[in-house]
Amino acid sequence: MKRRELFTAFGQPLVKACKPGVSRLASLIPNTLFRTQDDKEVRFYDDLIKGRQVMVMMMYATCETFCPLATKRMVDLHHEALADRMGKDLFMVNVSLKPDEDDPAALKAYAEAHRALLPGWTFVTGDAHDVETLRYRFFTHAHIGIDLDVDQHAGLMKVINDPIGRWFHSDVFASTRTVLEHIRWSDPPKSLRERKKDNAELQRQIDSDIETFGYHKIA
Amino acid sequence: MKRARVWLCALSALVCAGVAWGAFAAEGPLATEGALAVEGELTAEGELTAEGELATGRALAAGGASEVCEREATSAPVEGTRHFLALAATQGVFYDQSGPSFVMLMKTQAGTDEVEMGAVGIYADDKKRPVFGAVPWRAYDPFLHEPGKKSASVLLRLEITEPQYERVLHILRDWERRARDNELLYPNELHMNNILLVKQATEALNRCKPMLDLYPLDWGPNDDISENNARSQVALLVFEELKRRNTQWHVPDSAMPAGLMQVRGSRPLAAREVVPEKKDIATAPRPAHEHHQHHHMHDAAGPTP
Repeated sequence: MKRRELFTAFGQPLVKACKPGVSRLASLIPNTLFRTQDDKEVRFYDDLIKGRQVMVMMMYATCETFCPLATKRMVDLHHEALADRMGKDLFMVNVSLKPDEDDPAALKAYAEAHRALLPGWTFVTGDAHDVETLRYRFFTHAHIGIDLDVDQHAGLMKVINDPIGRWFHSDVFASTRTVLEHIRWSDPPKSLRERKKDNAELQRQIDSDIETFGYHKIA
Repeated sequence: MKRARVWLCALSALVCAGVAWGAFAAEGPLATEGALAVEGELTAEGELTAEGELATGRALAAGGASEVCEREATSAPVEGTRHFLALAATQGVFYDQSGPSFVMLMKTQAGTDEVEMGAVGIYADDKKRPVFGAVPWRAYDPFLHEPGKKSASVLLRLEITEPQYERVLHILRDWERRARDNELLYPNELHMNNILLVKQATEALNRCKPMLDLYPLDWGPNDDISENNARSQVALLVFEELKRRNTQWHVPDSAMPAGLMQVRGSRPLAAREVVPEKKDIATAPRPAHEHHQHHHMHDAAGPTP
């Protein structure tokens, strides 16, 4: 009797299917012009998102409620758990919700005031039309009344991984573990070797827990 | 009377605001005698409503609401120019028995033989499917005249001031751009865009002085229409409700400029040249990967439903 494979793609690294530059997100994310806190002109998709793993948040410089708290939360998280990744394989983009008020200088002042001029962090402002498009694309509540209120979108975060075409919604006020998990969900898929190694490590932990406690303790 | 379309007349948003400031007489809006078909309108003084601020907050941001309204109130109207806004909808056209619904603007000027007009909202394509965007002239033409009493259509036609006209025009242009550039705020829910457009356009009328008795179209606890009806029906039902609340404002056919009533069925003139907005940040060419979509409604020679 001869054996026939039921599945053909088993064991192939998933990363192979993800080619930079052909992300499906390219058609969803506007590629219009924005200005950074350093008054540098950038294209939103091409320069900030394309080929990267990016966290996107919205804020405005005169915001006194959610924005400063959300920024502080992410600055803390940056120092606690993300410092080694930020600016290398993970980036943060803060988009001004009130572009008519926030010029690059105002964004820079806001970033300095909140100690958010960190590696991998960019604050941008642009045309109101484009900002509104971004706001609805990323953070819509699908509710006519709520969506009109810009304050409803401060504190929310999208974690985007462009090469693999994934984006996840996250709440920056959730626990550190939850936010990090949301970021990890959008990490690029690991290679088969890495996954085997992780699985072996996990299995060792499970075996050890069962031997010690009689069950697997979830951290 | 020939007509040219509204969309490509050469005004930027900022220029629109500037023109708007020049439209009110010192003693109040619509000071020109005979400009309105009904009496006693637009005399109530008042501040902005919360709804009005919400809906048009972005447009106001550049100058500040009170500053813009102050300038509007102290500037003179343009002699001989009349502006109209029509809220038009019908039913029984699409698969779910809903129908086209859109916001329409018209502007006539004494001494010229042209009328500018255009509409944005939902209309039927050649296969009777709903499409959101700038409405082809053949689709809005039937609403140049009031529907019959037993008709399934609703038309609320208002005479408005130039600042009101410019505000609504700015909103309609923004939505037309969104439809053209595939930047709809609700890309997967056509009718949500139209509901938002209707909300913004009607609330913009009340921005500086209360004019209409508005319906609270916000999906809140007082919005029974949205609560109890399919989204595709909401615009029509809101227009009906607005007409019921504001009957005194409706301009009947008999009070409309004769020339405007006669353009029905005539092919529009070529659109005017567009002057791009003076915002340096938005002037660079769009990249190749942005897909410009579909409905270039205002191509005069293009197909119409």
